[in-house]
Amino acid sequence: MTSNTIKFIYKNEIVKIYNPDPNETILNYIRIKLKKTGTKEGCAEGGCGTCTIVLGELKKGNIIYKAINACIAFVPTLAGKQLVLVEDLVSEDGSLHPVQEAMVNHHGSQCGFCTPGFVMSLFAMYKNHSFYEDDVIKDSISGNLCRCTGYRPIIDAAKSLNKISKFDFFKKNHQLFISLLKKIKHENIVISNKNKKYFAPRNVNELKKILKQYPNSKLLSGGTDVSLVVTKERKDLDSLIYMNSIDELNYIKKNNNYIEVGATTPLIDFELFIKKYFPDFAQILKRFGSIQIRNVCTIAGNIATASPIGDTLPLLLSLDSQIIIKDKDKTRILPLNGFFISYRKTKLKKGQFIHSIRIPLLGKNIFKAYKISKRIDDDISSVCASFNVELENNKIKKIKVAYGGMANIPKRAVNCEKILLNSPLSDNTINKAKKSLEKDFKPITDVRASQKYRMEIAKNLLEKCFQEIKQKKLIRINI
Amino acid sequence: MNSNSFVMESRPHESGTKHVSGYANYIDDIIEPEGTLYGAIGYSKKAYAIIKKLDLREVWKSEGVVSVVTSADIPGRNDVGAVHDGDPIFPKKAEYFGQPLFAVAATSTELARKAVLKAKIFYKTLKPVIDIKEALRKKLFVLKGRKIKRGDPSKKINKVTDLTGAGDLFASGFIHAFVNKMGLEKALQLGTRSAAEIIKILGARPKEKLSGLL
Repeated sequence: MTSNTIKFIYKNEIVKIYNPDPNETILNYIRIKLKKTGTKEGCAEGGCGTCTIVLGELKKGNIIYKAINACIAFVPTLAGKQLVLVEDLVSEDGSLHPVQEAMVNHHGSQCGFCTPGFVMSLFAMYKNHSFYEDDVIKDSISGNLCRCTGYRPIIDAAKSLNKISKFDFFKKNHQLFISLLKKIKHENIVISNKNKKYFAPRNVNELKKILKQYPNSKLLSGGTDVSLVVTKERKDLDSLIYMNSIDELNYIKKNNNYIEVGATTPLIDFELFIKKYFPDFAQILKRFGSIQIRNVCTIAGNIATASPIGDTLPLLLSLDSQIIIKDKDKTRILPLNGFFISYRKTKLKKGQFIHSIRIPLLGKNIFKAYKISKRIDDDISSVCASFNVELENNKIKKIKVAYGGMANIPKRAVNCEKILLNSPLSDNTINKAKKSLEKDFKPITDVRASQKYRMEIAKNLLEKCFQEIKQKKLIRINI
Repeated sequence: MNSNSFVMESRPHESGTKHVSGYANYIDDIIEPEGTLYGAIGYSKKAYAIIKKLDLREVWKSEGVVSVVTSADIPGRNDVGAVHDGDPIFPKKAEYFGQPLFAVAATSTELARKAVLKAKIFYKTLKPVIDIKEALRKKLFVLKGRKIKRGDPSKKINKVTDLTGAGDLFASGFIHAFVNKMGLEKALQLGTRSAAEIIKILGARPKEKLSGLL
């Protein structure tokens, strides 16, 4: 059961695209083919949010509306979804959607270029939340950059929605959209357009078969890295396998020993789950990227990309996580520590894929994580640090320390761990441990931070961690 | 308040409705006539460098390319400085990262953008001046300095006795009343009274509280 036709809902009907160019972005499709130019191109790398669109997805018989960046999403990934553009919020009689009206009434636009993106982010917020508190509002628009109006009037507009009826066009047609979404069969998608191939398998078995036949394929989840090959380098991606169509891998489960996260679980879901166990993990995820990014990106994607500044990686390292890797015949369980070989190189071989990630549950351990970046939201780490400490009678019984942004890979600070292990929790220990980071890391100077700053901040974060533990309180200014 | 006046009234942005509904047409949003060609610009990858050679053969060969232009194709002045010269369209020496060096016209935006990346550009990298002190030392001014002078002021003005502060005090009095929503008339009154008060004394700081003037 394969198909080369992408079916999705637009307005009140099912749209079919036969064998599309798998490298065409949804943004280009909207602007060039649909001739809807409300959605803009800004950065073309999923950073500025002016291309924000909303996709409706069936989940447990209900429609979840997700804001995404159309500039880094490819057309075939529309399969089975409802596409909502800024123009579609306006009623047929020309009256504005409550979100749009609030933006006008609160002076939320000036030059207007970022505005459609803000409107769509606020629309997704309006649909998915019943009450819009400050943190919900700020999180909802953290992936939209405005360079002239300022965020205050936009936040005012969002707040005013608390007083407005939730009944809109989409609520009115809710049942119609559900029945249309249900009509679209979830098939394996195989596209072969000129020299470009695209696969969206529906299950793991299908994925294994495709990988065996096309081992050079790129695996695509959120596309924050892979898609830029097309949008920035202007090269073709000859063979793509879309992972997020595999529902089987979209899961989080827990037993007494560990939490297991499937490879296609979006970060936004994981963030909600992990909050209870490791609040700092959830905090870092909030700053990992915007909602648009967290709606589509995955931990498996972050691991496979293996960027030295991938924000989940130092956290997973200090938590001693394992990854489950599969290919056609075998399953392997590897510790994440040692998985990263060199800059953006991992032990993952051709034909293999990350199936899931296991995060051990801690006993009495204390887990802490910090991110330093130039901007709080929607920015790349200068340094990201993570600590996993077990204390007994004021002595450090177990310790795992890992950093991002300090080497060409996310890395454990083994020398520092040696100093800390079995030492009393004293200023002397902390000072020695700080010094030992110089043995562990030789950071570089780049646009985000200088070598000196990185080392200094790495030491200070270690100090902060132990000060927090000693004083039994959080010392945070960002939250 | 006069009902014909919009002062102190909250009015929506005149294009607000278009902005929020996606119907505000920016240049790139206008539906093109049939046969439109699309441009893309090739940028300097060096912040400060002499462009030794632009090898654009691969750009010409790239799919969909109809034309490629460089500084050699400019018939008149290679300068778009609106008031002063010094803003070349395509320079021989790049003076900032991302300065345009050539342009491509192709049958689609994507193809034009693809094509420009195929250029081979040979640079002779120069050492950039990036701090003010060094720029002053080397006398690297954006424009020649200018002086506007009539007569010889030093002969007329021997000693400045007082900067009255009348203008500043007018503004502060006016703004104080205006932001406190006292209305335009009161605002003007407080402005002129404050200004009148300050010129009675030496120095620009009032001795008395000016709020008493109302």
